[in-house]
Amino acid sequence: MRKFLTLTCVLFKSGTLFRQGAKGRRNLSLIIVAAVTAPLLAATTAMLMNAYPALQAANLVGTALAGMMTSACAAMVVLGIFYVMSTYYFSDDTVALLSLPIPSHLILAAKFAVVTAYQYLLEAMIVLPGVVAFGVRDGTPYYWIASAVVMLTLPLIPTVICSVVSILLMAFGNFFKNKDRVKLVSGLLGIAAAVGINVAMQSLGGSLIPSGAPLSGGVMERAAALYPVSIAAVNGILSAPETGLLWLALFLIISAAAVALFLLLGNALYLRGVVGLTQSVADKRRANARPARRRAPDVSLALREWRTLCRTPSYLLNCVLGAFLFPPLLVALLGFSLRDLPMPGSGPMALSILVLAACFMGTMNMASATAVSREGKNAYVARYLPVPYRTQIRGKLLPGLLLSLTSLILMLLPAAFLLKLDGFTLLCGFVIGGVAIAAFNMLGLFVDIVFPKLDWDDETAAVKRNLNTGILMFGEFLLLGLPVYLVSALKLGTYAGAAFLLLYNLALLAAAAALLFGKGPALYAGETRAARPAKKPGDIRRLVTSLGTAILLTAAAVLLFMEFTASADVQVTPAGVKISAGIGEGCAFAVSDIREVYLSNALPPTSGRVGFAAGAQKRGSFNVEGLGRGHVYTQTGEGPFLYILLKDGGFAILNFKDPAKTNGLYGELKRYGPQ
Amino acid sequence: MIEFFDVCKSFGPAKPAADHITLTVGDGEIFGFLGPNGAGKTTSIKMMAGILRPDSGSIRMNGVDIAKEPIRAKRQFGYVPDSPDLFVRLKGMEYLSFMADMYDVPAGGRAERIEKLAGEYEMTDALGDAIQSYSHGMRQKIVIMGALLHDPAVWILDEPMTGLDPKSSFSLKQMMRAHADAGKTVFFSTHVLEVAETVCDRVAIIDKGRILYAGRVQELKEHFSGDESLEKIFLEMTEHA
Repeated sequence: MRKFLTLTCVLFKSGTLFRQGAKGRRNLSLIIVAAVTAPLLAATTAMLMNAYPALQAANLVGTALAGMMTSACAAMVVLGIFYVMSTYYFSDDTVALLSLPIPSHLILAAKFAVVTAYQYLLEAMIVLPGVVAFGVRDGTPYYWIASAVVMLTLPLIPTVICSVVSILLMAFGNFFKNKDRVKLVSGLLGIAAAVGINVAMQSLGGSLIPSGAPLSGGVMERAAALYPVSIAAVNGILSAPETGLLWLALFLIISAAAVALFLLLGNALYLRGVVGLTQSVADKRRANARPARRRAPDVSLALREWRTLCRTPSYLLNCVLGAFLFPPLLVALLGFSLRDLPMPGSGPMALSILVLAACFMGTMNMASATAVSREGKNAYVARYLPVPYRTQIRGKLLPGLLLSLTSLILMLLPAAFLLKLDGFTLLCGFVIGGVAIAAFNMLGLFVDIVFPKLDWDDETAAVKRNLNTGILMFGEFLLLGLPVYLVSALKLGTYAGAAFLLLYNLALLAAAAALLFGKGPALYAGETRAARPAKKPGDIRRLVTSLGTAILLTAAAVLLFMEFTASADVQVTPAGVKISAGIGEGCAFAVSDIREVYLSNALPPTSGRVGFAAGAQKRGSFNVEGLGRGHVYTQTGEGPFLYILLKDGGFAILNFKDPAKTNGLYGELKRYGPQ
Repeated sequence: MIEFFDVCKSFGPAKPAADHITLTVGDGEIFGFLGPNGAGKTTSIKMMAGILRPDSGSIRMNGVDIAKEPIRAKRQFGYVPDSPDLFVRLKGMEYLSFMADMYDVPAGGRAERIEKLAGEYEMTDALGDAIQSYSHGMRQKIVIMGALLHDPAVWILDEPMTGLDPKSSFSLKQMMRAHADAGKTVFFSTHVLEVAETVCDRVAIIDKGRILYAGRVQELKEHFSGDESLEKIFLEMTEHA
């Protein structure tokens, strides 16, 4: 046991999961991760807390929890197989560990523990908000203890599945002896599995759902049915302690049996796979070995980047194939999901959202945002080459830019068909989207120059476990979300909106270029040097940083909580009615446009949300059965609901938690509006 | 010619990697840089190559200050790092073409130069393979070829003999001699004292960032009892430093 703990500690410390450059930079990275994920987790928790009464009323709390657990387990299998292969077979320490006088199952168990720790992060992102939200609403001490046990145990079975598949493939598949081939095939399998699960979830449909269930057709119910073990886990948490303990014991026994089976199998086959891998020989070919013609340094650098991208499986999968596959795939999936919604095929709003989506998908390939990180331990080479840093940066930018522009084309063409875009919007999408993509490729590369992740053993870490991609996407949402809001707030017309978006993105491009080619070279010169010791931050500096982060995180969480729990604010004047709710949601109409106002205790079923909905709380535009599309602002599922029907066929439905407030508003409208 | 002028570099207050180094390596010289692990050899070489910047002092390559005119200074030398695992996804020929582009090797004569170096190091048949499939020694050879492709006046080699087979090691030593005899400069670090003794015109012994001795091996031996081996002298100097 002592050896197992020592080995696990060593593997943790040397694993890429817990290191990202110097200490100061690592702390900064952790702060950024916390700043990005904490508000998301807080917002999800708040949303689920709101949804709890509706879920409880429909007896769907368990189903929702089981669905979350199944989704987490599916994510752990899809994303974990890559990590398991790397950790068990391709990490630098594997051969060295095998030469130590310790049994192979001990090595395997320590590596299993390291992979499981990585899985906990995924689990926390998907399951933790649900567990916390339901616990805060209605949790007993037993609920919290059982939840902790389940949370600690849940990643074991998905990790066992990944491990067993890896061990069998490596022990018996000669095809898989080639390290690159393994990474490529397992990556492709991962993508196929992710798409497969998505399709399976959609096609299973309501067949598993009892008819008449209030949330029939939901993803959660299908998910729970796909992974029966989660049912034992959920029953263990939600049942009364007498029966809950039995379910919990069943869940623990199944998990423990799975781990035991894996260790048994691993003891017999792990060594065979590793030895086979070390005995494999390089696939040597006699290729044409004539020197290439002379090229300009930036072109030669870009070509070297391109060759590395195409020949490294992790880069090929994430950066190159991702650029070709994801945009059309996502557009198709999105188009399929939103097929019932009326699509704004033209107009400035459609254009600004299109530019945001185009830029988001165009930079999803991460080629520019990881260009320096991919150099890893070779980053110092840039320092002794007699080529100006500006030229080197140009060479680094080129492959990512070309990949992003390819993605833009592959996204816009199907989008034009599915979203019925008109010619002008499509043209603007190409031009403005292209400008935005160029700007964010430059910003992505700049971020990677400032925070390069150079300390890795496995190339996957450079592109998949690199925070810079998250920082870039966060920046995209902020910088491209702003014009979406402005176009809406300023009520710009089509041409004015397009001109505004073009100018905005050109300004962004100019700023990005100034940053990258102005500040970039000096920073690149500094960052690619051999590791320099990080300056130890003083206690006061550390305290200020911690306090600042805590204040920011709290403020973000409070803002998000307020946004998700805000009620509609209605202002009635003799001229008109103005309803505002949350950030940027609301509508306004003149009193003379009102056709009818009445109260009813029933709200017909709604669908096709564009806005916010959690349980009975709804804010935004919805399809309301029998009425068509209109605005719904409800705080509770209980009546009375105030119906405001307009002469043009539009409508608004409102209610408040306090029925007296709803009745009061009805009275006020009756005074001004139609009788 | 390589010149160090009062160069200092430290990684923390108690860890000087270069402590007021002043050194001149002349033309036509093979200069050996000796020292125990962690003495400051690689740090000094990295400062010469422009990978690290000195805290104070300056370094010149053929009279060009590497801090003030980095591109011109870098054209003066070819650098072989201590790890040969560079751009392993490229094929040997692709790596050499890349290095040739970086150092502006003219198109005319490029193929002949590669052919000559490949012949010297018996790499002709391997240039079409990915560097990833090379052994450690072959990787070392391809990195040396890439560094020498533009026929630099100054060679800077960090542990160049590590991993080389006897024939390639012999070939490299012969090339170093020929290069120095042509009036150019070779600066290399090594742990193998026999190599330093037989190949170098002058050596420097560095420990804890300070140059303990710089001069001819023979003079060093004469300074001690005369018949002591370089190994014994080296151990004595570094232990009492």
